[in-house]
Amino acid sequence: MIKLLHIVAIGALVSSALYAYSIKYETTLQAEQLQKLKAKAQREREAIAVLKAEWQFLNRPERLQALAERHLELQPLTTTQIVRLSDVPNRGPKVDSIGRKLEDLGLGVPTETPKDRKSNAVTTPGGRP
Amino acid sequence: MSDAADQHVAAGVGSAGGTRTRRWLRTDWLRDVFRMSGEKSEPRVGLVILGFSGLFLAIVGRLIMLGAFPSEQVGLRRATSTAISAARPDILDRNGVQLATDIRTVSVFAEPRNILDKDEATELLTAVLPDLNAKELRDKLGTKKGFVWVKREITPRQQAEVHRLGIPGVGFVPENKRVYPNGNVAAHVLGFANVDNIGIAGIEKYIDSQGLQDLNGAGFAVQASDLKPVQLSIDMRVQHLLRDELVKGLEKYRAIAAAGAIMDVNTGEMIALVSLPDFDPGNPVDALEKDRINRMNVGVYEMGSTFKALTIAMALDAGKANINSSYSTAGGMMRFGRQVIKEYHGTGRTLTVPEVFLHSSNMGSIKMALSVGVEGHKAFLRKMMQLDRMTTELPESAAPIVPQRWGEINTATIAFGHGLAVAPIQALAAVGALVNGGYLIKPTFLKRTEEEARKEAIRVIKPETSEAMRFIMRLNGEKGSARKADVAGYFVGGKTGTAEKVINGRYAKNKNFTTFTAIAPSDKPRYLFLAIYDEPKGYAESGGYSTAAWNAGVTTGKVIERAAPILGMAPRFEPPPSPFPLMARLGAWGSR
Repeated sequence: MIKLLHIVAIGALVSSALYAYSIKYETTLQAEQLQKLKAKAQREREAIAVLKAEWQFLNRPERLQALAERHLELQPLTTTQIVRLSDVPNRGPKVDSIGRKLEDLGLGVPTETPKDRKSNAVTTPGGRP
Repeated sequence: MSDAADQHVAAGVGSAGGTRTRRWLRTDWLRDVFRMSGEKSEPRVGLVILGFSGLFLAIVGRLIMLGAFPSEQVGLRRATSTAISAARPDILDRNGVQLATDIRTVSVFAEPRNILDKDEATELLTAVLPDLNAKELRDKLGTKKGFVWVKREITPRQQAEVHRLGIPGVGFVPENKRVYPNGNVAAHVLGFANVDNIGIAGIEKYIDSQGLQDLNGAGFAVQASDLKPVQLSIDMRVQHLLRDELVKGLEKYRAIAAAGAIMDVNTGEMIALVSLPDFDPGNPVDALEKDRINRMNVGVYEMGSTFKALTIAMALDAGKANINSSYSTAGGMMRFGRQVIKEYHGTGRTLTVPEVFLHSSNMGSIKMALSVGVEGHKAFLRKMMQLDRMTTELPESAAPIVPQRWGEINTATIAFGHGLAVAPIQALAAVGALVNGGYLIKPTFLKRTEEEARKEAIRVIKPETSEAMRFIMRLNGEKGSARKADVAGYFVGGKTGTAEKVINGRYAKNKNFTTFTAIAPSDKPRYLFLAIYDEPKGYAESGGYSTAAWNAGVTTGKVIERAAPILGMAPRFEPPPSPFPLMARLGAWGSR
């Protein structure tokens, strides 16, 4: 009985030692992983800082102005280019310019719908041949 | 055990004589050491005391050694931690645009003690890094130091090449490098940091004085991510356009220097500050040359007619004059002992207060100042912070040049802006107080709100006086010398100032220092604009004139036109219905 107890105790000891070892090993692995990720994040942050600086370097107003003067036909805004809403003229009466054109051409008569086709074979607008 | 003790007692008694007992004694002593009984173990206690004493003596000795002769063999980590440049916070403008940031670079160092062949190392390193001085490098490697810099901040390509050389005792260490992506644009505000990332001038130095260096000195490894960015009041876009216009003006008017600033009159924030010639903060080799000073903060100048605004405000505020008071300028000159002061734009008739300002009458200003008296004049200027050094966040500042003995003649000349030299930023703060309702707010370069500014503001003049000042400045913008800056829609008011420069103790007739101060919009000012030229020359369209309206005035007009839309000022098509109710009620000259 005592012997069995010893064997169980020794077995528990060995297995717990194994378990502790594996936990420790895994922890080390995770710690390494963490360190790697931290280093990677740091590298990314540094890269972002460089890119930010470069972005601002390329977007500095001095350069943008030089580029705009060379490539764009834009002018600085002057106050004379700004008008009040009340100074904008009202919209004129609505004109159906297409309709008027048709009228002028003598095509103002409504076209025939397919329903009428039976009685009259002519389908050209205005009943022309 | 007790047997042994008995034996010992017996031996002790018997040790009075005989060689046998002596040998006994020796082993006896050893036996005593290992004896367990308390009262007999003194020798053992002694041995323990001896052992520990030896141990502690050794430790103390080593400590003294370390303290007295700092070993050069301390680890590389320690050597580099004091040498590499520290992280600095980013600097942003008021809209979050980056003005300065840190980027990671690599520096090459050497450990001379570990380099076997110093001549060969020198030769190889100078071959890869051609801008190194071979002799200097050889001398550096010849020392017995544990750590020397070979070259700071090298490119990744150079790093690869040095790495390939494979010289033992040569290594790399990552460092922070300060970069200023906008180049010259805000040079005088930002200042710069040296290769060790220590602020040398401008806001950079201010940041260090706020405790950053103390942290580094105490050994805290500060990381850029731990530092909160510093947000300035500068607006990068406005800063650029102000500089752009001043650069163009400097060329056109062939001036030796120029400066300009835009201030928010309600918060005291500096929206832009330019001083030309400037420098590149990323490569500040010429930053310390004499003509690169920040003329806004460090230069002191006689501001000329701009000071007449202060004189008029003083007389109005003291109740010695009202807006309808009139002053005779008959004769066109005034005599003070041996000195004669003439009218520049002589009219010869009696002028009301607004006319004194419009015609920039010296005699009118002198009479107003004298009505307040010498002491009152001094007290008013002191209250307006014109007589003491004005300090802002920028560490550079200059004390005004105040006359040693201040007599009536000094009050007379200072009344129209001669005889007292102040830093332009001081004058800017004073004019801001004249127009913003009477609060003197110290200019700042850090972003803040109106409430924060109001807490520190000091009331210096009455709101009514402030309205009168706005009224006459607007009148001058409409009808007077400030017409050049009257951009339609922004209701601009302003004042020109032309001072003759003092060369060898005399006023030089043909060398001017011109200033132009403008406010917009005049009925409720938001921004104060200032442009300065040093020794501008006349040009074809100006008919040879080099007075302020023809150079500083023109520049200010262009700046207002470009900056107003960016600063969110909407143009108005008709003047505000009653901009100056009090002036209209008093029936002031020009209000109808």
